[in-house]
Amino acid sequence: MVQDRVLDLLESADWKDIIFRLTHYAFWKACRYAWKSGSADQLPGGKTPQDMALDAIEKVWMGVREWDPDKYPNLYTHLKWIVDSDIDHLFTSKEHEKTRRMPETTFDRASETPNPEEHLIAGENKTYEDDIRDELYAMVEGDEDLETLMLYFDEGIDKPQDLAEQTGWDVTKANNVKKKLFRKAAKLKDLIRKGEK
Amino acid sequence: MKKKGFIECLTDFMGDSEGLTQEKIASELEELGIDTAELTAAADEIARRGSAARRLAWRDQAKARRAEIEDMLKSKQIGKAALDLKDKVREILMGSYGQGALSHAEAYFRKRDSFSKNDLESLIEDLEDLNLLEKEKDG
Repeated sequence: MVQDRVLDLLESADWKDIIFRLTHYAFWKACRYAWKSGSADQLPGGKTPQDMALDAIEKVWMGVREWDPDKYPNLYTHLKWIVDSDIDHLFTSKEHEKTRRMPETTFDRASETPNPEEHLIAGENKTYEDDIRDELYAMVEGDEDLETLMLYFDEGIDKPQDLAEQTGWDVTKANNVKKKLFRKAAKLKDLIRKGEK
Repeated sequence: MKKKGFIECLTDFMGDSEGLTQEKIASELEELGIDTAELTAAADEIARRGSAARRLAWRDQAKARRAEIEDMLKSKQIGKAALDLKDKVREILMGSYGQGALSHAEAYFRKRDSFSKNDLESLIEDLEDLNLLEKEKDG
């Protein structure tokens, strides 16, 4: 019997691979925010990054966030958008109303004048970001590749293709540097968690 | 465009799993204290429930559309010579044709009030072609 095309595509998707990558993505996305709990794996409402990933998958299956494969052929990208939007929503939810946001979203508004509260939060965030940056630089000291990577993060460049273009690394090298940073990831996560407290 | 901040770059870079194997990602998750077997089982369960719900919805939708077309067919004037073909069209629509064929038939019947033998023959041909096309697309 000829079936609904979306159903066919969803049924043939590699859900094991998707849930692993999406949970990993949700964790790092959550690390961008300072949560009341002090941890990216304890989100408002008792949610975790894996809950956010599973919720996104459920929303697509149940048609709550319908996927249009003609417009957006990449299912994983569509799921990442849902995770982004849901985490942003959690962050702005009532349950999480008194919190700090990472600096990049509050400090780049040169044309706007922040109110005193925003100014205070922005100041706290700046300190927070500086602390993380200093500790990260210390962590990668002596490793030329990772030091270069940090410098590019400071310049707002993080895509492997852009890094490859800027540094002359090929994409494989950029991915290898990522693996190297992953090896330091446990320490990195502790650092971010500590910074959130 | 607004320049991305350091933390945003760091978390985007780390969250991008392109170029990393599934095993590598799994070990990353385990290090975070996530039970990957449990996670896989939960995703599989969502897919199982979602698939069942979608199949049911698809069947209900197809059933409703067929009934609608059947009603339309009853209300149209069909030439005497084409009466046999009317049954053939009905048979096709009650069968296992896909949404494409149903949409085509629906549009076809909405457009006119009466049908000759030639009209219905051409509709049957179109429906059979569409059915073949959909089957080919589905592999």
